[in-house]
Amino acid sequence: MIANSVTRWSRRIGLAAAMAAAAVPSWAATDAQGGGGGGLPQLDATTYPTQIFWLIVSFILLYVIMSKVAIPRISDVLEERQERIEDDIETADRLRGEAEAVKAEYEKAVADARSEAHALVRKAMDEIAASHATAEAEAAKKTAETTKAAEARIAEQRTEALESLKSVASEAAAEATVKLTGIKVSDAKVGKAVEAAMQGGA
Amino acid sequence: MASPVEQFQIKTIGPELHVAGMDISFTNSALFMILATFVVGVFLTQSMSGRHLVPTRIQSLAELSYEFIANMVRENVGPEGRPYFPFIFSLFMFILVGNLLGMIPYSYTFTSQIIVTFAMAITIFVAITIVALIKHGFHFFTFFFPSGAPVYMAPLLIPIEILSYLSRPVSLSVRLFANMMAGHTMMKVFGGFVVALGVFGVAPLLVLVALTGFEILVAVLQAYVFTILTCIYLYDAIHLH
Amino acid sequence: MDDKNSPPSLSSLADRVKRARGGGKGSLNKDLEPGLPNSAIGVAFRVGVEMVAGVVVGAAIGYGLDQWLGTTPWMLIVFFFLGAAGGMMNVYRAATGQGLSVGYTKDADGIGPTGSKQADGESPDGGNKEG
Repeated sequence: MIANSVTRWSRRIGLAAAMAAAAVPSWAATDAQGGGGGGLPQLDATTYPTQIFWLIVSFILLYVIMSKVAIPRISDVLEERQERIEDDIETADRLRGEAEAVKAEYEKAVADARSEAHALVRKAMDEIAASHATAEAEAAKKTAETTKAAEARIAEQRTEALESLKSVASEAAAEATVKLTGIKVSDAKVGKAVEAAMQGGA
Repeated sequence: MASPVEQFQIKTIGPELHVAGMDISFTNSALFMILATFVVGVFLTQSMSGRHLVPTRIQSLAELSYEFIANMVRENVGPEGRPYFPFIFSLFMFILVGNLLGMIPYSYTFTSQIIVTFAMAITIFVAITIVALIKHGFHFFTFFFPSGAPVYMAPLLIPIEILSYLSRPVSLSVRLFANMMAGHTMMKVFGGFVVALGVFGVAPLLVLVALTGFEILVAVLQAYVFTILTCIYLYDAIHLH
Repeated sequence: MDDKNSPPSLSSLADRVKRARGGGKGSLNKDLEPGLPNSAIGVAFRVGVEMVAGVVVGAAIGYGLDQWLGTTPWMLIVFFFLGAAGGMMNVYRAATGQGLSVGYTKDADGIGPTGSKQADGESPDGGNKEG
């Protein structure tokens, strides 16, 4: 039955091919050239069964190889790669997030450190200023004390010097009197006179 | 000079085989069909045997052809096309490798045989029609009356639509067959000129070189066209308008 | 200084991650977008094949009916012209980017899932312009 239909079809196809050939001039020419050999070899229906048979055999073989071996193998590899790529992208994205977090943390730490340093500097400056002030005050106090003591000592020495000056003057006056007049004057009298002179002279 | 169509002659290889009154001897055409199967099978299984995550050059070629057809089916048939993918992929590789093997000197181009292309086209056509009938039942026949056309046009339009539908396998097979045959015939003719003209054969030789490049393009293109039309017909069968 | 260098690299990494996520499949599809070179010879050849196929099928059916019904040559003549009309219909559909589908009006919502249905020789977006 197959053979029957094959030959029936082959007649029609012969017609088809002849018309196809007629449609394009270049084939018409080749057809004419090949005409000597009994027409186109493609239209020789006796070769049709073998061609169809081997077409079926080879195509079924190919189909089986494709669907059982080749296609699963290729799609496996492609899927695996797709998964791997997605994984890699996932990892990259995750690491990027982590890196961003670390960066934010780092920036925060830097900012903290900076403000802390600022505070420290200010505190140190304040402390220095404070200690400066106390030291100054102390120094001023000390200076004042020293000055006072020195003044006191000067005053003391001055009175002392004045005292000694009085006695020296009295002695000198008494001696001078003796030398000039030969009169011996009592110490008390001389002292009184010197004092009066000094006060008057002063 | 040998006839330019002599290259299409079927020659028996080995003993003649007859089964149930039919001649099924092994021939040059059959040899190249088996060879195409072998080449495709070896190429697609061996290139992938490494299963490299980063593909080698040959592996990426195999993957590229796979994804090319996968995208074609996805875009032209839709998700329903998935079960037909192995068939369409095999079809594409078979025709592509058959066409390309034919470009090798002294080889045989089985796709230049109308019976081969027609057998493939009619099988696809019948299978797709069956798919459509299973999916849509008798609703399938509304396919032949253009929606929106006036009813009184039906007696004219329905036969035209049916004929237009029936001409699908013919145009599908004739397109592939005629392209391959015309190309190979032209190459043979120009090859003949090169030999016949001797020193002056340089001019046809240049034409022949250009033609060879063009034929390789046609070989790929026709495999693609055959496959994408199969996809489009399948889409029609699954979705109907 | 250090913290001025790191932000650009991090944001560019974010960009790259986004691109790798979104662009992976898109770029692949773009490369493999079907569509044939729309050469004049290609179109002319396809048109010829469609016409011839229609005529051949019509003539073959007409011839068969003539043999069966004994109406030689009327069925052959009638079906020859019907086949030519069918072939022209296919040419028309191929040329207007409706693929090769039977049924000559488009669906209300275009021609199905894809603009590449008319990829049989048409530019990939030829049909979209139509719809």
